[in-house]
Amino acid sequence: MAYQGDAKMNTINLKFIISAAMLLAIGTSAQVSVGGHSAFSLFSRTSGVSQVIVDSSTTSRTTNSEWSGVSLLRLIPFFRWDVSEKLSLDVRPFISIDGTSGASPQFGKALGDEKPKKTVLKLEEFSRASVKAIIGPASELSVGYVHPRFTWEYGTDLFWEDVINGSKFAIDRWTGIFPDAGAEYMHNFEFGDALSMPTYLYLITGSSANPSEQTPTVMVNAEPDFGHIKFHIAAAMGQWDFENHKSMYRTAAGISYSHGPWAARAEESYGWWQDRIGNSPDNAIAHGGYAKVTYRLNKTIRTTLGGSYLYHNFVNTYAPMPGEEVYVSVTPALQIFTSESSRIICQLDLTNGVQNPWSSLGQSNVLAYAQGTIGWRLTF
Amino acid sequence: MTMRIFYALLLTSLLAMPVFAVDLLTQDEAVKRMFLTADKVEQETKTLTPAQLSTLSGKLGGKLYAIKSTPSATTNQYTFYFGIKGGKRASMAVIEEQEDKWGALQFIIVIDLASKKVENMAMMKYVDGRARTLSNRTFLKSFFGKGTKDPIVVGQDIDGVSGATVSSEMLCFMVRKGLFLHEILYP
Repeated sequence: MAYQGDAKMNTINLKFIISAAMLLAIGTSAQVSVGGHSAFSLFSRTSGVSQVIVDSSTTSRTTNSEWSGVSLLRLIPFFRWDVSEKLSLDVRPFISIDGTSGASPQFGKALGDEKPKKTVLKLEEFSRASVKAIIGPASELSVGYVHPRFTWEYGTDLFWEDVINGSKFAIDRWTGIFPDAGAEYMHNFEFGDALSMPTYLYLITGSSANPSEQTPTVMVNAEPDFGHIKFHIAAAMGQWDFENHKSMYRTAAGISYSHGPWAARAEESYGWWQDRIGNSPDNAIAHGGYAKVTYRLNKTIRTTLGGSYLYHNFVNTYAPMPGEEVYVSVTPALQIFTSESSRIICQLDLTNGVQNPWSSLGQSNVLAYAQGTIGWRLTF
Repeated sequence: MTMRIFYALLLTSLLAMPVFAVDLLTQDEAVKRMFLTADKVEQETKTLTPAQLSTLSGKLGGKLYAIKSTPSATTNQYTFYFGIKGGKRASMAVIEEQEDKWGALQFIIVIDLASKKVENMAMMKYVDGRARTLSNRTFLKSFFGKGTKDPIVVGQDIDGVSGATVSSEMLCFMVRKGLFLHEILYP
């Protein structure tokens, strides 16, 4: 525990140092660009059923709904300092505000119970905080918090384009998210006009969001691009424990197609962690995926229909315990571009979830809800 | 162990680097790459008259910039590069830069003087990471063969890059501007 505490302190200090360095750079240099992304929830309403099944004769069923008004969901200010023609410093802190908007329903709780009781401003992680060097006409090296492209959906923030709230798969630390502290080397291989293949090599040593993930991991990510059709393949291996004894590997693959007003994308990821489940010798396994189709009606309106699933052979995201959980979601969405930098996003999440913790009670938790959100995304 | 694997892969990639490369270029590098087969390259700087500037703006929908008005986007002075083959001007290149909220995007656009259509392009500068995909040749080739009669609009004859829609539209604007500059200054 003391080790983790120290790690957390180091992470906080690092975040402070990065922020202070950037403010210093802004104050002393005219070469700093400042901008950012923000996402607001204008209205959100969730309704559905949360059910606890103890046995066939004992069931607790709660039907509920909750709503929230205008709130700031997240803010990603962007600072870029061009140190020279070939060297730049990018800092993008990811700031969220809890307590002002509706929250995702959780197993075993009535809808709305999980809503934070007070407003809290949090520096969650860094979307990016790195020094980038151009080391050749097709190569770059970044060091810092590099936001790896393990999945397109989270790694390149593509879910931002379609929805205001990411799917369970996209924002799950076991499937869509990847630890972000380390080094990224990128090279764009070109094979005439027929194939471009940006390839990324990562050495990851930690996470800006989770100080307990300070373990060495190597990842290779290749994105063969044939024009209308693009592919994505990622493979990572390393250790997950502080002593570097226990192995892990993760893989992801994806395909996207775009032609005229149509675009479609699908991704799948799989992860395996040796002896990762507490109170059990079992290995942790997580996998998930999604598919979505987008149609662009005109310059200002786009519609998206997506579906996703997520599976864990454990419960409790931050300290896995024996059990099992599955989520399945269908998400229709509408994006209205009010300008180049502003869009209104209407989204409906229809989600079913089942959780079976292997507790002594043997109870199961079931969730079935519809969450409608009208959001506003603004780049400034 | 993982460190060794990383450095081994890094070294392999660095060794492979000189074999594949078309990206992120200085002005001299970009011009040299675009006219690899030319006998020589000529340079010419032209200043648009107020009437020509007005015509250009009209053809581009009423403004000289895609998103953000900057000195480089609204300038009335342009440098053109000509690839000379057999004593004749065969192709022409212009460097165009536009900015969005995140910073500058700069491309070199080459026009074939016989057909008056886009022949080649390369990204010279970008800022937002998601715009990096715009440098892929597989994306750039969708502009090749386009002329002033083509719409060059995302969702019509150009497929935008997911996650870089605004940058894709900005690039379309830059290509249209390059073609109209040629049409107005070299009728």
